Amino acid sequence: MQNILLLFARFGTLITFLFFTTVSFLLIVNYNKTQKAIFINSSNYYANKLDSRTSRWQNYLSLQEVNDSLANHNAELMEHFINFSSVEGMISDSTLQYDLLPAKVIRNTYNLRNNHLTLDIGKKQGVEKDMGVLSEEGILGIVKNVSADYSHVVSVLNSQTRISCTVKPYAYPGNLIWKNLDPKFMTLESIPKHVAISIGDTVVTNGYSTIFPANIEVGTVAEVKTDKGSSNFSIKVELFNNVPNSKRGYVIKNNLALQQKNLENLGNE
Amino acid sequence: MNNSVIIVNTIRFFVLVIGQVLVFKRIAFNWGDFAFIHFIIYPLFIILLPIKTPRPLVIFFGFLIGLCVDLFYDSPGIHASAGVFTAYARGVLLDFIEPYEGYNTNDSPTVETMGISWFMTFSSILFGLHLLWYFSVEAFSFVFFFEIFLNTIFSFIASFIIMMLLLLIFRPKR
Repeated sequence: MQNILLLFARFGTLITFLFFTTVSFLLIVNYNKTQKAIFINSSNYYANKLDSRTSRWQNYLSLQEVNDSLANHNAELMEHFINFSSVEGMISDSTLQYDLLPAKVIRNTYNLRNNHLTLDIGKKQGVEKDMGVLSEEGILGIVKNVSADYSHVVSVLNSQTRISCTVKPYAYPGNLIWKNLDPKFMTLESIPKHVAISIGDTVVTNGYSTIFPANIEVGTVAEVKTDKGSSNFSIKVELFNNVPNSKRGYVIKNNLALQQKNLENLGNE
Repeated sequence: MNNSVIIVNTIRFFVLVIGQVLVFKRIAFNWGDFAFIHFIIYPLFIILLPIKTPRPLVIFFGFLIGLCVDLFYDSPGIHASAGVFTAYARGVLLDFIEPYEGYNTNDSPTVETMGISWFMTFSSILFGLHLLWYFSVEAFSFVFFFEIFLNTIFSFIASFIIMMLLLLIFRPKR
């Protein structure tokens, strides 16, 4: 107690000054619209700056790993290319429907109920709202907000995620959702019970929405459950990709999305 | 510190706040784009507090008068933070420009007790700091550097003249 009093006798003025300055700045930031807006904007700006700075370091430290996975990925793409180019005139004439925009993941959460990612590309690079995001092995999420240089992605590990998927080789549409707080597993719902599904089958996107193209491999069936009183399976899906460890994302730009949406809206009217 | 000092300072507090919010808040000089003159006179209270007032108390009074002015300016915290800063700077400044023989008065720093040159230095530095802080916090971003600078300069000239006139008319003794 005496020490505290001595401390106050020594630095009392400074302590009082800091205390009242803090109080008044709290008042300013909470009750003044202009200052509040500036405060929030600039703190977001610096937070994003800091995130991209740290992720640059992390990227540097894991260069070897990234290189390996890029090489593998490259090899796979080459395979596809060779396979396709053998079919003459298939791709060369028509414009491609999907463009992939490579991006770096600069912020990624995975231990919350609703997880989000931030990518280092934005409007300038052509990202728009509601575009899908892939990683090398699977799907990452859907773009929700875009600023000039950054985009904010709702991760697949989010309670709001609903991705239209199916089990190969069937075409029954099911919803892929995230229920069980485990970043390795998701749940596929509303596949009817009469479909013969076995453990180890591949789950793919079905391409019914404009967000993800068809036949992107998402994961494998790990467990098939039937809920009581339901006519549908509840299928536990083990994801191919490790979402918490994603360092790169590929934003899918669907060049025909507008056309499809307009046509579908026409039908709704 | 006797009772009359407390009474005088309390009255000064209320008179300055009321004068600030009822009179000087409403004076506005706008010549087209030129709107850089604001009359701010309440820091006079902080300047004229008795020299030997405990410094944490000075900071508290600075916060209090700033908050009272804020209530009428609809800007919670902006004047208060300026008041706090001025009150803190006052202590530092008093140490800095202490006369050779020290402060041998229990009264307020006025022209009569401290002499005109000392008082002018003291009040102008303190008041300038107050305005600089106030306009910086009001803009809240140094992007508006130019506006902050112009506001400070012109408001300083206008308000300082008013403050000196007030001192000349009322001639505070303590």
